[in-house]
Amino acid sequence: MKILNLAWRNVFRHRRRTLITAAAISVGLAVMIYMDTMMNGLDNLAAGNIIDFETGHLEIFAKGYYREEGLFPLDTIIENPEFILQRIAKIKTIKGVTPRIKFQCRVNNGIDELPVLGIGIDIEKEPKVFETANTVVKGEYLKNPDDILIGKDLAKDMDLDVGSFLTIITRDRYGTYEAYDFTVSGLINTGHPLLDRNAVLMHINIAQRLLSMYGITELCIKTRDDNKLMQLKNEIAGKIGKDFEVYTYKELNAGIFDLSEMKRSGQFMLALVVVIIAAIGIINTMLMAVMERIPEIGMLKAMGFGNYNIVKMFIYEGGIIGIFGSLFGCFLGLLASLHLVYYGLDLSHMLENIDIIYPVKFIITGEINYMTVLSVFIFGVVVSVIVTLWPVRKATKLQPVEALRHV
Amino acid sequence: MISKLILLSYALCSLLFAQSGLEIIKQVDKNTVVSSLSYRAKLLISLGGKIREKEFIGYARGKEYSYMEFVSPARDKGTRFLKIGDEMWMYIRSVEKSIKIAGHMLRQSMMGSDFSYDDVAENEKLQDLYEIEFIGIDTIDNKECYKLELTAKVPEVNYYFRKTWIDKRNYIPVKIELYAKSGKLMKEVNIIEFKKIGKKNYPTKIIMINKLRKDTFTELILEEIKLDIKIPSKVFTKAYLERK
Repeated sequence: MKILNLAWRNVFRHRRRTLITAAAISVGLAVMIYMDTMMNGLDNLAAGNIIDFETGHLEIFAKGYYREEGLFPLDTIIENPEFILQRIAKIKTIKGVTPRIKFQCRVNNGIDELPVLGIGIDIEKEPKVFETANTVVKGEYLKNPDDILIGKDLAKDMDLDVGSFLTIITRDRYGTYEAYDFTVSGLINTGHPLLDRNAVLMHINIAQRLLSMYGITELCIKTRDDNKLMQLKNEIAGKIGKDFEVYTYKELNAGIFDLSEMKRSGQFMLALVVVIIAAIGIINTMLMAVMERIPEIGMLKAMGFGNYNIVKMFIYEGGIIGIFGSLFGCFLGLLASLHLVYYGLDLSHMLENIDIIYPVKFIITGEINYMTVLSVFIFGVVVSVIVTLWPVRKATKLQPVEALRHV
Repeated sequence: MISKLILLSYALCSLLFAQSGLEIIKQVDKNTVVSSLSYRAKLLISLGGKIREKEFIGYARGKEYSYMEFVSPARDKGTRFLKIGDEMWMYIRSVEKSIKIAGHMLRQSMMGSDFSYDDVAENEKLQDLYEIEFIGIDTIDNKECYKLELTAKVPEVNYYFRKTWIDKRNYIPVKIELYAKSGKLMKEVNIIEFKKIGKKNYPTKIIMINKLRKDTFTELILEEIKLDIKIPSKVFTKAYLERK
């Protein structure tokens, strides 16, 4: 206890120096926390967009469909969705099921042509799973058979507006060309780049007519409890048999979530560099403390103070700086994170013309993971203590007689 | 590409004459069927007022074998195509590898033109795919033409419906219209010029117009056509396609 008291006093002998050293750690830790908050927020937003607009929580395909991911094949489709619907009707955790047809097509406005993803939706069942109906920012939702919904970014790219005519060109499931005129009934603004820029939505029966088919490509399912997704997946898979496949939204977007993992470790490395620089600051401060206190240490040793106690004292000093720095760093990080949570980071003008594969845009809001804050705090203190060991080695090697010569 | 269009034309002709006389079919065949040919061709691709020019040389034997190699611009130089039956391969020099054009690739545009790969690779006889109806005599560009309408009788066709006008005097299709299933006109092919080579009339200028886009068409001009010449068999092999 006496040694701790001694260390405490030593630390505050040089207030400014201590403050600067601690501040370096603070900045490193604050950056770590802020980045974690941002990444959590991004992941949440991405997952939310995928669930709310693209796939739902789970998707059922005909066997073999998903192996051709990205190609949207029309030869492996669910011919009879009623069969599946009957079998899964009694599962209580399912909140809603809606069929969709996804197919490759091109949007043509008479001058330009762009390849997009055509999505046929069932307007009755769609709202039970997806939020698309609530994102119409201009015009109205699908009503007439030849109505089509397009994203506001696609509308801008193709110079279209509510009431404009456009032609959808595709090939039916046999390869025959099909071209259909549609009227833009509304513009949607979902925040998911796929839907806002690269897709068009139409009535499912019109899509079936375009593609000369009766079935659908997938059934999208929303659950009441997304913590038990794998359980629900297995339950459904067991009921519908081997002719169909079920995937969670995470499996369907493995690429995106892998990417987020990579980004996370990349950003952690960056923050680590900041912390290492801060650690060098601590080494410097402690080395200075050892050097200027050589006579003092000599005196202590001469009075019978053992090496063990000297080491203890310096470790306490490093620890005190570490605790203060880490505390302040966590406070700073949390403060910045709270801003991110409540106000968000507006990236809309920065990302407007960039095609990002990450399914988010607009304002990025964060989510604080308190476990991360705690582990970052411990990390900060531990690093501070460990880096103190090296300068302290010098102090332990001092001979009392040699040291006292400096007096 | 060219052989395909010629095929298309004489397939159409033969169909017509299956109805109105075998005699005339023979006449058309005499006119356009060649055992082999070599040519140098220019591809003018017009997109929204801008015209890009590409040049290639080609060999064909019957309707089964065809080989093409681009010579300009520099970007496309060395890009080669080989078609045997209804299979097609492409070789890109910078990649030094040939790929088979199959599945979804067949539906893409060929070298940025208004022709898709399966426009070129389609090899089946039109009479096997379409129900053909003789509509009557029509005048196009002051030429008296037989007008035909073709409706698909099997699902696996590129275009569900076609209209064709065939010149009465020389049995060359003057105009072909290609329709989507919905009845929307998608592409129009015009054979504007042809040349008398020996006893045969051979098309030398073909325009493919994309009717869904403004100012978008592809013009194919054939030069240095040599008919019924000897082409070594090795030209139509994958080894020749992939040669260094």
